[in-house]
Amino acid sequence: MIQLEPIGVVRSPFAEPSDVPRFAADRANVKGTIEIFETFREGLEDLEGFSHIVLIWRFHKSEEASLDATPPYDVGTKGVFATRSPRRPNALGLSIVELDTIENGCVHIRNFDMADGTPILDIKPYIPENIDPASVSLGWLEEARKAVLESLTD
Amino acid sequence: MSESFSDASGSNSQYATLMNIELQSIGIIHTPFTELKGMPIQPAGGAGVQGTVEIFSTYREGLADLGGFSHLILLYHLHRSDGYRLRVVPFMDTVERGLFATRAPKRPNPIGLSVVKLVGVEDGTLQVENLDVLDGTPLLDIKPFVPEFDAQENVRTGWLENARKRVAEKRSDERFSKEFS
Repeated sequence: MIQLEPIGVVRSPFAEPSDVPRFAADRANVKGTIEIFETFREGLEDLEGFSHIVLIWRFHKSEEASLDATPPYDVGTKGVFATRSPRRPNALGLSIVELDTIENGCVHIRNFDMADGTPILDIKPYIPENIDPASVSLGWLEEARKAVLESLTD
Repeated sequence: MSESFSDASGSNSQYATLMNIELQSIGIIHTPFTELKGMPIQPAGGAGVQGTVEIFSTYREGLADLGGFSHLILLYHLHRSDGYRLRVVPFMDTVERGLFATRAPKRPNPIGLSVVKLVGVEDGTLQVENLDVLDGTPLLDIKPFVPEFDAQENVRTGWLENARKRVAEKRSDERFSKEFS
């Protein structure tokens, strides 16, 4: 058993997880804030020089975990670890967001997918991975997207 | 648990119901790194390092459909990390930096993150490449790596900007292992 406590909380215009737009393009310029609890604020120093940060957070409103997930495509169920479903063991979320400014322990962010009140467990500086996009394959997701694109152009 | 949790300011008391988060490991990561000393300090330094991720039998059903992905994100417990300081001197620097502007393993919630290459899945065990974690590390989550979420463009990396190029060659010294027993 590993016990954790949040270092801060998200203030977001998305009141509920269901209010978070599914597509990144629809939330690209939506602004939010992470309020870092006072005890941890000293650790924010030097973060502002980074354009993006990695957030590890808890799906605090997620229903009970399931090993099957039903993605928002017409593809049936998939193993939960092959999806980004919130209903996963440990209910950990991971987002890379744009960092605007930091003032008085408030980290102002853009292009995020967390609902209001989401507990933040960790912030790390984002360092690009050295991965050639051409070498990335996305399994079932690739096929599902192709099908969606084709249905749109029909 | 660090002392600084117990004297957390009153401003977070309203989140008391959210404050206790309990996680359980879903598997174990096996790597050639049995000691902290000599470990690569960033994924770039773990390039080509092979290992396995053993998923406990109760969670194996969740691995279905994972095989088609080339890269995975592993979240794990930095289990040998104990306590933390909010200002640290990073491996590739000589001055103190705010902890959250570094990848130092000693953090309030010691959760580590690595992007690995998936080589194969068999009987609840993943064969992976590009590992930069210690042997025996408890696994917390597996997510598919999706470039549109996980690979950003036009990135600035603050104080790391100049140090980045040297990261791949650098190996960890004993700076963070002193308190490890």
